[in-house]
Amino acid sequence: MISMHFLLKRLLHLVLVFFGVSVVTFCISHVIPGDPARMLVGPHASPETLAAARASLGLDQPIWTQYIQYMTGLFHGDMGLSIRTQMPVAGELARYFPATLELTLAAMVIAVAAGIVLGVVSAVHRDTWVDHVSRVISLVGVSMPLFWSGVIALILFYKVFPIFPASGRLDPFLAVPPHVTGLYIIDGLIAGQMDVVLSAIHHLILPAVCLAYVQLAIIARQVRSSMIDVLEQDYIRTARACGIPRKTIIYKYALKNALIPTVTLTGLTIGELLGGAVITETIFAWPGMGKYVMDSISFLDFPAIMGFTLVISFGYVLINTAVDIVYGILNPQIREEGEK
Amino acid sequence: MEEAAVRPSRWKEVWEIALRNRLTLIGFAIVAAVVLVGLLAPILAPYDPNLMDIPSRLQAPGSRHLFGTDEMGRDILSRVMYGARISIAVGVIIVAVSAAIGIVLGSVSGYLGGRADQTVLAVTDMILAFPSMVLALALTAAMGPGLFNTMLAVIIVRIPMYTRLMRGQVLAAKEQQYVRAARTFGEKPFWIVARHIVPNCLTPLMVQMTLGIGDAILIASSMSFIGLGAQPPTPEWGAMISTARVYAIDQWWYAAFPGLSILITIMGFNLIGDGIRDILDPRSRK
Amino acid sequence: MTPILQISDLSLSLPVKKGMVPILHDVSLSVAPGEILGLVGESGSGKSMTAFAVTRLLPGGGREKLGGSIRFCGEELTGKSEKDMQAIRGRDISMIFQEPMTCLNPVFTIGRQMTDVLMTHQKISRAEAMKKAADMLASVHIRNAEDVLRCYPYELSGGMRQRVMIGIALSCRPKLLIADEPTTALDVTVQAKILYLIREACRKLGTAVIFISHDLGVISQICDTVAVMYSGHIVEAGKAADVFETPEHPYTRALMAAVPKFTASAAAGDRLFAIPGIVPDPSTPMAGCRFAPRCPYATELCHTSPPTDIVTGEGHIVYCHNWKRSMNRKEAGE
Repeated sequence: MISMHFLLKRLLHLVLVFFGVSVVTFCISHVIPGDPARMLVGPHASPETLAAARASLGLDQPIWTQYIQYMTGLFHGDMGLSIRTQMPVAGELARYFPATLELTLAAMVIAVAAGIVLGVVSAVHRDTWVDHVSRVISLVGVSMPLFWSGVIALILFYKVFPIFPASGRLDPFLAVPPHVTGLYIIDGLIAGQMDVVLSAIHHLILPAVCLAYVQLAIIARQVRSSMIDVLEQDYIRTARACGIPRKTIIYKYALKNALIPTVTLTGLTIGELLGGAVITETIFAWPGMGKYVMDSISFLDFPAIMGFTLVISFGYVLINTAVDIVYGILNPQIREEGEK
Repeated sequence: MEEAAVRPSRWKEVWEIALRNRLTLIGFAIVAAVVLVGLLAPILAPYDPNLMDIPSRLQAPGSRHLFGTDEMGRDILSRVMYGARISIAVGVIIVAVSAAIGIVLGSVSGYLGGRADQTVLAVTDMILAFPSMVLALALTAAMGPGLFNTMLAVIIVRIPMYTRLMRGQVLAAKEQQYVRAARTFGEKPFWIVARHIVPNCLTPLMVQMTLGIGDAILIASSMSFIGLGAQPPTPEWGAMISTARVYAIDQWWYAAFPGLSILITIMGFNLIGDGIRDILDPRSRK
Repeated sequence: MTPILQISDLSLSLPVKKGMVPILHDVSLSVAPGEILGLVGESGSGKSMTAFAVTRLLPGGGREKLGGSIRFCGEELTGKSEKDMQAIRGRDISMIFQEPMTCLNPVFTIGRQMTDVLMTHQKISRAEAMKKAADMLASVHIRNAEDVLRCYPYELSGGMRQRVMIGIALSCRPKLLIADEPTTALDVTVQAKILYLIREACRKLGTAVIFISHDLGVISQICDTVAVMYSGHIVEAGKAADVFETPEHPYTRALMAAVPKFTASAAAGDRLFAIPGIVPDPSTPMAGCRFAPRCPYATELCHTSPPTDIVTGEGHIVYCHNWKRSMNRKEAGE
């Protein structure tokens, strides 16, 4: 299917981007602040702590020595101490990571699945009321501030129609399932505790849908326009002239072509979802990295913020590499060019 | 010469189609209304946006306070009106500055090529490797919270988009006959770019910039919501909702009106941007 | 021989923003099995629309208005549902198009696309279909057919793709093949091969062909009968030899005069003849003959009443009030 050469090229690119990302985060934490040491220990640190931080940062050293120190730390999983909790940032983020993963994955699935369906339906029934409705949904979606839709969703589905819980990942009286993946739905399934699974889904729906909505709208618009484009292509006419059934034409012939540009968009979507998680987790009191960083912001807990930035960005880069590979699999021409 | 003859008619055509397209027109109307409300806020607003009136705190919308009051008894309608000023200004400034820098960088990079191009590309790649919201958050945190630093951060995050767009346009334009002609006549590179290339690349930039204003307003208000942007008691929409979050469940109006304002404003810009794109892109004009 | 396709008085209107626009007026045609009918005309004359009306692949999302009759194998097609038409397309009536570069789906292999068609119309497995597809490609003179089946369209040249298209079109052994400008986008050397291929395949399978082209040279090489279209009307029809030797409609003659002749007699002083004026839009209402505004022989009658069909020889039909006078005038002029 896909050549080693293509994969190797993507991996090399991945290493380069990681390098680039680390340079940017290094600049943000060591170059932009007036006093990086002060930023790392916080405004209330004792003079000794501050002096120690200065020494460990090696602020008198040339900048590239500082960078090497920074990278060495990162390689050992050292992201510094949180000012707020005085705990290693890396460990805290690891603790909150599964919750964020569960939320963004769920949002991702909703955004992609519903976005594609909405876009296809809209394109196939172009200029009918179905299309108009779905376009209005999309337009509102791309204009909707995430933090507001969350609040409104709470008012509607927690206060006015009490269907969904307002916070957390699980009913308070349920025990957390034995840790395997950290995703409660999957861990619950593994442990065979259906009540946990249902409760986890129940808690997940509202935040995931809110987080997904904007991206869903963006995907739906993209799918609609590329689907309309594809449906007017000559090869679709050929397929019709050959008597291929309409459903096959739409869902196999046209959709596969229309999804190619959408795949690239999906990579961006994940970035937006990860960024949006900060807001959604805060509103729904979802105990993930986003809520952690939000709590850190009010304390100006700089190491925690930078740790979050690093983890999210590295994850984003990884996902985009995966997206590139999927793109290569879907699009035979690109795959070929990668081999040359 | 020919260009000069073509362009006005093109813009006329754009305008005529825009008039025929109801949605684009609605977009223009929305943006015009928001800008007007922002400009005239001192005249239109029934109260001083920061006037506290503790006895009438958290009042539901009524005849005295059309949009109700907040936890300090401030009039939400007045605050929303003043918020329009801030949001429009923030959106326009962010787009203007980032697009200006992007146009210059993109032109230089696309026109000169070589070392300069590679450097610019490498830097834009680095920035684009981050989710925009996360990078803006980290940058603002490093510079310190506040509306000004937030705008600075969003500008930095948005420059690569315009740089890339402009670079692509310049690369394409460089091959056009009129640019080649100008080069053979020995015109200086700066003038070739400024006089021949930039004007011809403006249309796709226009679309991006219109959509960009909505996007900038959105991301800046998100930063305010997180607590890194405009600080209370500034009547910024995102900051208002940030405070309103605690009260929103029981006092729906507190969060509803500032949020609705953001939604409508951004929708206005999106409608205009979509409209212009449909007109300029013959493929989507069908 | 009884015709396999008999179109009589076909009229077609397509929906636009406001109301319907007439595209075809009283088109009558017939093709017999194994026969190749050439449909000639300038772009916009309605020749492609006639073909699309037969297969019902019209733009306008099913809101088109068809009048008259299209009888195919004794069955009336105009009233058929989309589902019935779907079963006919590809199995009984196939089409090939102008742009081989864009007519094949870029994300599927040739094999997948060919077998999909076969499996739509015949109850066979993918493996059997693959075998049939390979045989079909071999019969359109593609060597290493097995390899081509594994290719994506972008890996093939234009000529190869058009062969593949013909292979797909003929794979279910249709009774009628509609070729819409199949050689226009190809190099001249490839053109001849494709023309030969279409003719050979149809003779072998007994398939009737409607060959649409604006190129009189191509039409004269391949067709048995010819129909000339102008602004949604047929203006002249007959055996290819008759029409090309004694063109009776002033428009046919003008068309032929517009073809550059590469003969020794074409002296340096010879001017290429161009028809003055433009083709009227089929939607423009006109009381008389639609060619009248451009016709040097037009009389008062031509502008006020439409011409009817006049049989001038065996199977030779012309729609012109003044065909005799115009022919005499022409002879006198030379």
